[in-house]
Amino acid sequence: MKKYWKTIVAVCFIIATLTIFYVMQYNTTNIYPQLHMQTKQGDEQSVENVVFIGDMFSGVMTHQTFRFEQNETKYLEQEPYTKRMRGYYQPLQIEQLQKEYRSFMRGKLEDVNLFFENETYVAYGAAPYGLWSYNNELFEIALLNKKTNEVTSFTTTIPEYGKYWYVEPYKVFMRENNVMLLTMNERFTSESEDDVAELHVYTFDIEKEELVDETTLTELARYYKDYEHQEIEMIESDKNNEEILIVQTTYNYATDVEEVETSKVVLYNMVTGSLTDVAFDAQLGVPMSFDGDYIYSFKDTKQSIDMTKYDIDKKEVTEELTLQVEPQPYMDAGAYYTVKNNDGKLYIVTSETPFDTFVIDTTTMEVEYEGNIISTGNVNPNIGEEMYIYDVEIR
Amino acid sequence: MKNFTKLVNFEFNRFLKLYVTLLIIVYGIQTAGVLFHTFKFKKLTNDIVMRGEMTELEFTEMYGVFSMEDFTMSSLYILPIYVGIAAIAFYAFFIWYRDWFAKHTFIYRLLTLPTQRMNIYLAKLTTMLLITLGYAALQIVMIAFHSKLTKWIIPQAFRYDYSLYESVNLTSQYSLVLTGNAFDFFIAYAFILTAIIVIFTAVLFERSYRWKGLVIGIVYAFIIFLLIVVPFTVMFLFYYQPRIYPEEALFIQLGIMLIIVVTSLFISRHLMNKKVSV
Amino acid sequence: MLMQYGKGREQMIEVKNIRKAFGRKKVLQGVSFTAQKGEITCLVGVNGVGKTTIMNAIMNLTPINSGEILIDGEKLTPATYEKITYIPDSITMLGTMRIEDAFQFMRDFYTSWNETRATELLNFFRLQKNERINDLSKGNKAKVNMLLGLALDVDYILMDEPFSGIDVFSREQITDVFTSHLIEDRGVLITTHEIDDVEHLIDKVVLLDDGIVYKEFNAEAVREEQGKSIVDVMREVYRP
Repeated sequence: MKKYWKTIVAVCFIIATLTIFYVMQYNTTNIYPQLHMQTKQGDEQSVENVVFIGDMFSGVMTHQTFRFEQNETKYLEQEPYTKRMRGYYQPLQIEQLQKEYRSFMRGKLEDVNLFFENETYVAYGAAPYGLWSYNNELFEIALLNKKTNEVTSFTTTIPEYGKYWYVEPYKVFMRENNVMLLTMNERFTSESEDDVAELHVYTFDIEKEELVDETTLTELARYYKDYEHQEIEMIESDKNNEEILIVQTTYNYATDVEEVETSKVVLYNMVTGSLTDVAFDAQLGVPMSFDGDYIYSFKDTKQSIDMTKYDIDKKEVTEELTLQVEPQPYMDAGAYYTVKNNDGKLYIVTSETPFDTFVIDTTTMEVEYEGNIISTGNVNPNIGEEMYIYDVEIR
Repeated sequence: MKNFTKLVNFEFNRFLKLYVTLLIIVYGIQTAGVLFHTFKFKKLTNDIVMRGEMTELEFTEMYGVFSMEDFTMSSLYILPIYVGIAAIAFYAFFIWYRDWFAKHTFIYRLLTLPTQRMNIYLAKLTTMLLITLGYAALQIVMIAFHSKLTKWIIPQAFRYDYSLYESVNLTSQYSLVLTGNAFDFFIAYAFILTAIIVIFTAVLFERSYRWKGLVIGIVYAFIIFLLIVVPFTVMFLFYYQPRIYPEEALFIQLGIMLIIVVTSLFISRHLMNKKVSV
Repeated sequence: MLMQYGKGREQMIEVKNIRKAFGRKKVLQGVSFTAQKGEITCLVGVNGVGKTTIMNAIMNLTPINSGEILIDGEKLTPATYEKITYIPDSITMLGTMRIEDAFQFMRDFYTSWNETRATELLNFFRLQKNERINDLSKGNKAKVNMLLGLALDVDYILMDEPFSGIDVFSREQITDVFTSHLIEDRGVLITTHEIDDVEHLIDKVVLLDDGIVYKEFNAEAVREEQGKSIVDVMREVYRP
């Protein structure tokens, strides 16, 4: 035995060190700060199905993505290997779709905007970047009939794709068994001109497996100046699958404080195909949510978020609500926050501690729930530890 | 089994002197780097805070606090790790060639031992694994030691303490032999083991067929490299549009590695028993 | 002679028609001979004729292209190494080892290791146990090398050029070993190109030339029947 002692010592050292280190980790789940809800008003059940997604920064280099739901904080790094491999948390809807239609979902981009689901169908429409180029050259269309498990899928060249910087699908929907794709195509223009964003609707005939119609809904001038640029966003109605709100906003950052102004709002009806201009006063703030009849727009200051409920038909503000938020020390402008609409409710959470959280009932415009998300571990911004919440999903 | 154990002990002890030297150099330089950076920071705090030019808070707002990252990102810390890994990788070849090309051709003795020749192979393999694991395990201990060192030198107010787990995780970003958690560790060592086995097989090709074998060995290693890399490349190209789900990719990867390992072991056994030449 | 062949049927090394080429160079082109247990067989031939290759082939230290080698009628297995040992022309232990470490190594791996005999040989060669192999003189290294082979209780010993580059005194000591009980009853296969040193010890000679066995003869018989020494026969063969 004597002559083996060195090897034995080495083996024992290796086994002991590695075991202690790796086993120790299983017992210390609280390496990173844990969050919990602190209710100010209402019932915590209101946020039971809400998943908050954010990043925890520590030190200079590292940040960890986390999900917080039902008073449990999970960090991506502590998830199983296969979940971590992606490097990000999949959207819940994608997770669900992949679980249910694993084979259909194979090879599809993990972006919720590209999917449409109703009782019978799951439709997919995308314009992925080419493997070797940064051009969107092809549409990928796929349709799953959930009842028969029949899958139709085909690709087709994007008409005149050379004309555009990019083609970005915003919404997939179906009309009379056709798959429709609403896209924003940003057109090449000469240097002197402003860019032009075209809103297109493409219609794909599933039986013929081809593109049968292309309509240009509207053109929106879009410019990038020294201190200004414009963005176009879509807001889906959370009540019906018929209408979609298209909002053009102008970001101005000439001063230290970034200002956002609503420039144009249009309403697209997916069933009839009609496009209506909405008379919307920029003073009302930025539309963040929409339910077919009303637009909910937001304005913020350092200490409050002002909500208005705007009736599209009557063209008037019907109700207003001011939410008090904790001033965010590191933000010069107003509060940063995330808004999510779901089933007649608005979920609002500010992006920095103490994460002011609100659930608003849109019919009554009353605060159903108000609270904060508090971290139990010591998060010390002086040494580069910060937590942000940048997304909300509803289970 | 008894002979295998004896051979492992023999091979390990044979490398021990070089190994200890290597560890002392690698971790010595690292520790020197840690001391250099901590004392540099300590001097800064002394110069400014102790002379009363700034309060502790003002100082930390201006210069930040001292943490592991202040030295783990420095070349004095990272380079030695790579030197160590390179040395270990080199030894994967040398563990064989030293038997042929040393002053006394020990290979005659090894090959005529009354034991299965695969025992020699497996003993060398186990030794390589022990060396690598030992290197990794010592790295963990050293990380703990280095963080202790900073705690001794730099006052609480000026530093940020990472947990051991976070520190190892930070280091694992560039240390190929260490990972933050057990499953990654398993995956990493599956790769390392495969790599060593492939190197061994290539060496045995060369030792069996000399020049021709060298070519075969290089081609073999290259094919294996492609087999390992291709699934990753495919995954990378289709990063946002994975044709295979991550868990499938993992299984495919492990499957490919298993096939590589089994094939290589069979080839090695054949070469060891029938083809190898003194 | 015939009787001896008959008697030792199972107890010998049989080399049957082995061929071996290094690239295009055909070194062995069908070599066959036997080496009996209890006899000293000498492979004779000029340098480069393939003597060492044959030794290596018998020990499975180099692959052969065709042919067969049997030891006591069986093919070589790992267990055979308890029955046959090889003393190549340079020592097969690590230079960093002391002689006692080498002994320990042999004890660890060979059941046929005979410690008593090893000590006996150590004394005979006047070597010290705690000497490091690297520090030994060339002659002493050769002695340790021989010792490690001879101290195994094996039936067959293969020696490759045991006298090459060794001083006169060491050479005498080694020659003495051949006549001692250390060799008795064993089968010895040696190669040499200096036949003079061992001529009187040899039972059987295998003459190699051009990759084949040119002549295989019993030294004693040739001496008695034809009045020729081994060197005489060699002269006939190599300088016709």
